[in-house]
Amino acid sequence: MTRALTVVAYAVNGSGIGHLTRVLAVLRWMRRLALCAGRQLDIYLLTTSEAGQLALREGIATFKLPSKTVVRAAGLPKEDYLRLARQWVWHSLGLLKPDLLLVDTFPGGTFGELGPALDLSGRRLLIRRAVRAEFDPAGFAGWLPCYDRILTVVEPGAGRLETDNKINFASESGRDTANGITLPLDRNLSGLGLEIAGRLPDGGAISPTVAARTRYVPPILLREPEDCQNRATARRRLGIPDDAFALWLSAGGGGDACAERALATLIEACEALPDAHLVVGAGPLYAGPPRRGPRITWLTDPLAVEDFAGLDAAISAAGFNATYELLALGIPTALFAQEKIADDQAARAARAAAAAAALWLPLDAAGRPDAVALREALASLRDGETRARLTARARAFVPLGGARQAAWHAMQLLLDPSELRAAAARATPRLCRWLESRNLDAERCAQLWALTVAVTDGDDLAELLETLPESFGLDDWLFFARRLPAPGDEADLEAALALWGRLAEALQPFDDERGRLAFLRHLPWSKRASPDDQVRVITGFLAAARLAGESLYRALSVLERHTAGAENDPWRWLMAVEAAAREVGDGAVAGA
Amino acid sequence: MRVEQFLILARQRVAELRRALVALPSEFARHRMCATQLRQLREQTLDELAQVNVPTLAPATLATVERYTGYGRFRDLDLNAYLARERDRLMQRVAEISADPRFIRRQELLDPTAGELTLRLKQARDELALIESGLQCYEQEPDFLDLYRRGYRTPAYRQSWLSRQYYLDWKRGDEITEKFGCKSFSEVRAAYDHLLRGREVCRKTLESLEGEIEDVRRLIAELNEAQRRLNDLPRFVLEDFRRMVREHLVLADRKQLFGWAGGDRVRESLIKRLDGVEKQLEYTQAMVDRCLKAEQHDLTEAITKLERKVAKFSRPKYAGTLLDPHQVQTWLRDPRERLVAQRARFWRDYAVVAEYNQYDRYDFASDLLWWDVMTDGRLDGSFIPEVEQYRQQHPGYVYQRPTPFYGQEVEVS
Repeated sequence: MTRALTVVAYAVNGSGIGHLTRVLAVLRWMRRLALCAGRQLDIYLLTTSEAGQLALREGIATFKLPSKTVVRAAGLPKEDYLRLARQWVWHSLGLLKPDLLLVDTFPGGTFGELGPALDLSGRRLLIRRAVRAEFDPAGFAGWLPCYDRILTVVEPGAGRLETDNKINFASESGRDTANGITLPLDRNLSGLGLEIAGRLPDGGAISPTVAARTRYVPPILLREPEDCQNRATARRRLGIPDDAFALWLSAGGGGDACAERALATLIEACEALPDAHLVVGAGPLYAGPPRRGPRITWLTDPLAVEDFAGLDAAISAAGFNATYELLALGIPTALFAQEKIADDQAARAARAAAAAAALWLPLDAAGRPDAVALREALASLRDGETRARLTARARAFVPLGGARQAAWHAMQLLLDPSELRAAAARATPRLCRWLESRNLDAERCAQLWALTVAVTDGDDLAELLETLPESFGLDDWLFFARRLPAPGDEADLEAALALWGRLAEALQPFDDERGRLAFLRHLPWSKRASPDDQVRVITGFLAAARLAGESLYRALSVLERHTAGAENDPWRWLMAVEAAAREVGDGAVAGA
Repeated sequence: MRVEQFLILARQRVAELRRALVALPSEFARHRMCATQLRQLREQTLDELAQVNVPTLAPATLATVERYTGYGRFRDLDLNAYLARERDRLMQRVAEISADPRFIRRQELLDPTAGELTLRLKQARDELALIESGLQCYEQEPDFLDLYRRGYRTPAYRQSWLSRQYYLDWKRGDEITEKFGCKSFSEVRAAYDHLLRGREVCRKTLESLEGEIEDVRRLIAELNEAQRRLNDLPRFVLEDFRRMVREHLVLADRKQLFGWAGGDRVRESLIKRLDGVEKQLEYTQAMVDRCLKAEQHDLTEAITKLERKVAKFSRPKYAGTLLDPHQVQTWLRDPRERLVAQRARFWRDYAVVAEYNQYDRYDFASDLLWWDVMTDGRLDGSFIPEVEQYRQQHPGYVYQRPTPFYGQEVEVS
């Protein structure tokens, strides 16, 4: 077994859960790629986010610092907290000595906590989401050379991704759209924090080193449409009646100061609709009073996205995750922009509206969705034709696979190119789901890849592996498969799986799990006899043993006794198994 | 010391070390003896465990077998019906054998002097001996087999007439033809082939006759066994049942088996002994393999080093030179003395494991390692995969002797 790789991810708290979600999305795919390479990935997440349950849902171990918000609320001296937090981060990284440090958005941390600790990790990767131009760009640029890889998230509408390190802005920005919204070029690009011709948004130059280390990826989403529930299941899980118009209302992760007010406004406006069922995504950080009722499903679940397919329309704040998760699933959405320190939601909403992928919902002077515009948006969202158009444009608007691409770039810093290539070919969502459903560790995976090396494509492999009987573990199959000649191609592997299916079916009626395991581990086997013939006689033998009420342990003893010394003579071996079957199956158990 | 003297001494030492290396496996005969004893103890324990679980052929006893061993074949067994069925089967078989013509004519067929099959067998053997002596005449003739195999005087013969061998073959072929009184080598070949075919036929006849004799003997043995069983059927059935339970116990998971014992002290004690003895066999073998490997490595290294010195100082430029006696002494140091001391330590540790007999100290309920129980946690067993794996799974683990599970140990032997 090769050495485990240690990855430490660092995500700060925000008024939403975007930083944490993005990091978890990348870690999820990194873990998948590592499994597909047969490598153990020890992941630690250091975070100040208050939405720790999201990491729990993803099975990521989290080491938690209180966020600045909580420290403020608790009335603790800020300087004490900052001193402690800086030391904590530094010591944690020093003790873990990660092979890779993965940081989201803020390359030096939000209070300089990462700076002294960056050299404690082998490689460093920054996920660079768009920030407002005025949010300390000079400070960002100073830290960038410390990173081995910088992944810039390109938001739809901001530019066209031509390759992973080339982006074409000209084709997308600054155009008039059907909705009549014009987005100025400078705002569009500065909102992304992207470099144009070797310059930063504030006009500062970027070094060629940083440019060479930068790669562009589409939006990084924790769940993409193929990971979500189907419409019927989602509606059942959300408690939406069949004939109801399911409307998603959200003000982001719930940490925004205006979240409670915005939600109240939305609920008041929407609950008057007679057939509407409101699904309120209050978010895990929401601290206000809940609003529950017969036609309201109140959610603070961070993974509500899994049930988005059950929605008919949505009105949501234009946070990074909410926007792209809704649009990727083709939910007709009206977006309104919240004022954030670093994130430019207005630009995002405007870009989506400009592409006719969403409706724009302006805010009133108090920061709530404007009442008149809200009524109009609701009318549009209930119109079938508009919904169909929005669905089609929204799906086309959001490019997918950002998390996978980002994870690929991250793993590039850890694995050999050939190892990563093989892993990436295997790591299709279908195979990954199968691996996760079987709860396989890296060692088992490595054994599995060694056996199935003939099939390189993940989907082909998944199709074959899905035929493995549920009642047996992968270990059992591996034990059996090692006895067979190494599969040379897909057909060989399919044949091997079919043999295992027959043997597993014959073992299934024995309800002694340990006995079944012992039988498989000690099962006599002849390298000379054809596997097909052997499985035929062994299944016959097991049927005879089962019929006679014989235990698997004794059956195995009898089989061993009969086949001892016959391994090199296929005919003798097969006859020996049949003789063993006669002995265990004989109603007269006497040995005379 | 002169180089020549050193070379003599070094070569002697290399020869001694080589002898020691070859004889090394035999040094562990004591382990083989010990392993045999442990295997016997295992067999004995299995017998005892089977006996404890099937002490008599009473339906009440058989009904508890599954509870204590997980072996369910006797569940709902109607013993009387089973005995009656078995008796019928044996009697039917006795009748079949008694009516078998081969059994009826057994004396006539197998009589050591005048038996039909005995005589035919003798005749076939004589014929085979005759044919083989005939074949030997050809095979002992120098170059005959070589010419025969290379297809001399057949289209398969590939020797070029431009080669010397062609003429040598021709000459030898003619000489052999003349010796066997034939007109050509083809005739000699035909006569040899004829004998080969005869030998094949004769061997088949012999095999068939031996099979026939074996069949008759098997019938006789089977009849005797069936009659023996009929005379004391319950005892034999009890033995069969014990054998079946024993075969189940041989491979049954020990922890599972202990759980099935359900607190029965005698059974639990026997299961612990069984598991302990199996672990002793595994551990002692691993210890011997490790020691043997280490000694082989040390001796091989010493031989290689010395051989390198011999090769170096055998070169002419060193002839007649003087070597530092202290250095020579270091080079010629005999590693066997150190190995003897090392082996003494090994046998001491070996004895701790091999002679362990306090099996009741083990507790299946605790996550214990037999190695630690046997050595009281004092010996490093990390060279044994099971021990190493356990240590990896329990980082920071320190063995603590368990408190006795029972007030006093149970004597079951």
